[in-house]
Amino acid sequence: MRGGEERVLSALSRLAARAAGGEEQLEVAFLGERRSTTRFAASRIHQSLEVERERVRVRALVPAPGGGYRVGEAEGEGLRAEVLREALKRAREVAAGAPAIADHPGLPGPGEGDEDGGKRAASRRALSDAQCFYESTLRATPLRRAETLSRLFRRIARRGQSASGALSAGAEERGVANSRGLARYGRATFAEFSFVCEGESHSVSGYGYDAGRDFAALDIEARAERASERCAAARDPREIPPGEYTVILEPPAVAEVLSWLRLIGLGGRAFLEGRGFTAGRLGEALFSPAITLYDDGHDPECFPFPFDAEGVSKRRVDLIERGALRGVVWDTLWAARAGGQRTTGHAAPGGREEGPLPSNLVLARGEKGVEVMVAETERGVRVSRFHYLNAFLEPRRALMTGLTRDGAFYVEGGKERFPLKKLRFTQSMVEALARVEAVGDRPERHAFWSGGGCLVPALKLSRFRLAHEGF
Amino acid sequence: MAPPPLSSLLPETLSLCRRLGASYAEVRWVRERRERLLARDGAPEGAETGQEEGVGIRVIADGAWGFAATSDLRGRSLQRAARRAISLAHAASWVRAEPVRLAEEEPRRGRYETPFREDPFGVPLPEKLDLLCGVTEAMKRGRDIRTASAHLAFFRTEKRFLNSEGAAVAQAILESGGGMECHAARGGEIQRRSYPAGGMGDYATEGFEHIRSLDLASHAGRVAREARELLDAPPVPPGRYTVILEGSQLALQLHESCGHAVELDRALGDEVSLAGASFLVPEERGKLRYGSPLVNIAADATIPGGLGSFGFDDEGVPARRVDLVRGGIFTGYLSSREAAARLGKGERSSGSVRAEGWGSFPIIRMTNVNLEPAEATLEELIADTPRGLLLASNKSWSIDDLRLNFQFGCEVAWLIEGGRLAGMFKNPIYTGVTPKFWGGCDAISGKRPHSAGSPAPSPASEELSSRGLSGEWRVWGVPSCGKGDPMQVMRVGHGVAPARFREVEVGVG
Repeated sequence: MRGGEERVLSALSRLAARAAGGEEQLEVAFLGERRSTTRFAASRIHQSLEVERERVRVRALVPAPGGGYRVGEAEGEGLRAEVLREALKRAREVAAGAPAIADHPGLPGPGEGDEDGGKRAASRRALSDAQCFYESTLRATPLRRAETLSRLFRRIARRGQSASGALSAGAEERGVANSRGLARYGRATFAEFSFVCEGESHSVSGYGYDAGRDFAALDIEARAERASERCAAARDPREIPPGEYTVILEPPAVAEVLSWLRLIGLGGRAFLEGRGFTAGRLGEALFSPAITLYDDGHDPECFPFPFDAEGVSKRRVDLIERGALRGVVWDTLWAARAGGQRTTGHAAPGGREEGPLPSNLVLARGEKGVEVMVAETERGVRVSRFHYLNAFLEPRRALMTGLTRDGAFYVEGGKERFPLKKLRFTQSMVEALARVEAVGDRPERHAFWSGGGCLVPALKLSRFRLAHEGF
Repeated sequence: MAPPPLSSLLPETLSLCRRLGASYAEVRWVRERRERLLARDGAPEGAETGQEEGVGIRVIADGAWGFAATSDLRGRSLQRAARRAISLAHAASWVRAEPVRLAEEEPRRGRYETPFREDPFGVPLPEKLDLLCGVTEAMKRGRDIRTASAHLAFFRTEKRFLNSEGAAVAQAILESGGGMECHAARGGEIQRRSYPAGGMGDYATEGFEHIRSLDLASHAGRVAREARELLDAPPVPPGRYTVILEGSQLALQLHESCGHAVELDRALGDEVSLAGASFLVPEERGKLRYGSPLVNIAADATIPGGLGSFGFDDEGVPARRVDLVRGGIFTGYLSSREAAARLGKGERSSGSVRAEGWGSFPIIRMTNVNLEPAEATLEELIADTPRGLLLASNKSWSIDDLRLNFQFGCEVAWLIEGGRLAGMFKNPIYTGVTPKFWGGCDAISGKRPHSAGSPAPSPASEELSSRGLSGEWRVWGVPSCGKGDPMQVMRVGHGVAPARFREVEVGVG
């Protein structure tokens, strides 16, 4: 990364200050990133890559005579003055040619969205920098990652297993400045480990995963060992009759479900347009009282970052409190459209199509270990991970489909009896999450491939529809 | 002093890679200009334009791949990236089985440009936004319509590719696409209807003439009306049906159950961790019955207008046509030079390698994966179906990690009774297992525009047309195919005409 706070903010602020008279507003955002990935399959590294880039985005807002703004955006590569000038020129050209967005409230000012009007912003930034940026992640070189993987591969080879997955490390810096005086800079590191352990075929497998800001804190050895153990236990899978079962969803499966719930109802747009499962249900008991879900960009256990794509501080938002819907997340535009709302610091970069989305979901932990959940289950299925979920069937019911993957196990009389062949489910998650029997005591972090991530424990749900479908 | 031009920087970088010990090296410069326009409820929602530019360097050193990319095009930055690529390869060589080998390929020198009639970047912005605002306003006027949205997107991608074997190709690829949708709501229920192809729109390697050919404005009223009608329609009674898939839905069916299944890197296990492997393993090639004898599927990157059309892939291999399924038998793969070499002696790349941009590792991607048309027309397929369903416009998709068990949700199902469309159902879902599903394919349309002996559209054909349905064979452009880690989004094409399938499980049991 070649940026640095002073270089980034001075370049962005200089350009933002070029707002013309007549109340033109300008926003300039910067993303510099370096990401290095070691990808492996069948216990060999087959892709070893590193990408370094700098992107700048300029948003020009020209007041429209009838209210609102004409808005234009342009992106360019790098922080060079000519790139910034060109992006500004094109953003203005687009704004000049665009009809007005009549309900656009304009850009946020400094401290907007902060409960204290921004007075605590400086200390919050300092706190977040220490929690977001880890030297250990920068030291996770390709060679060090290869050595780590080599050790894991040798260990599982002794059990006749091989592994596929990726081990990544990277860093990014973001800056936002606008003509209303807002100027924010933050940096963060990111590390991710995924490990599919396979036995004699693709159908006998186990899964391990971890992610976070600090590479040194990744639980690589233990998660790989768990994947290997689960793989060993997954041999000779059988079928069970289709029907409703108690399910014990391990954290990777819960994370998959949350990654879809955020898209189809926890953002302000889906809520306001009536498309999501949350629409019109504020205050209602949506899920079981065992479910408490919030979004907190400052939670050091998740993927903390101090501000959103508009430079607004991320606010903790209580989404579900003891099963009741308490709120959704907002950015400046959709908060204005909702009326009576203010931005919660959840603007997504280039996120006008989905609108604001949660980026650091935390599902409050419970008190049961997964093994205790199994021991207390008379008849059920333990699910390691879901595959290829899709929640667009009926978003109002959060009707989702998907399959089990990398190990599902039949439980009877409090014990795991045998591994199962893949199962498909088609299930309303609103209904499923109303039937929570237990919440796990050991949450795990998961990154969403579409940005952000979550911290989730295991869940035990009753009457979950499962079926083998013709394998 | 002006920086040295790319024409000298790229070969110098390639030479440096060789001097640093690469047994093979390639340098790929990409500059992509894009424009994306959105409208909602009669007003613009976003207008953005962007350009990105950078260089990706891929090498084989110590028998392993290394890839480094940078958006800093200064000479010293490219040199640094070249050194990084070499060191990444050295690190990878710690944990490799066999050295990477590449299938033979004659080094090509050439140039390719997408043919087009009207440059979309030259069409005035107000005209494009007016189109979007107009169609969303028209849809929003419909009764019970809660929201209406539409988008247009354009990409112009310039590429230069050089490798250490002497290949040197340049390309300029133009892509245009768009679509629209609306949601009707009443009580606690909401229904989506879209045009021309589910929520993603339809794209082509064409200019603005593609957008004009979609004729969004003339479909706005119908789309809004059908969204409202879906609120009143009953859900599909679960059961086994004869099903006709409309073109855009069949394109996605083909995409998920064939296109991804014939990717050789997937079949060899390279994609296991993310999206999975494939049931079409090399030992089954030439033997496994994938579908009925009617089913002929080929990948063809040479067809004009296809979203997966280009002159050369991102390994410098010229665009090709390869058979994937012939007479219902699985016969071939989408492949890269490396994967082809792993398959065996004499195998060659299908020319199917692409990277999302300059910063992405090139991997095997679909080009245009096409189901060949057959003699029937859509009117004949319907007339020849005593009882069945016609399913249209994708809403949901899911398939297992071997590309066998799938489930799709569509926006709408039309009941077919006595050879005629008889009514509408909402929330249709169908499931199946790939070879069994394609084995039930008993009719495909597309070779003839009209029924035999009829030189002009029949009343039945005009009725289908009024519902936005057509029996023609055309290439649908899917703009958001995801694969790889880090995830790469690719634009690919699927040529299909509506087809009929027997004994399909519909509804959720």
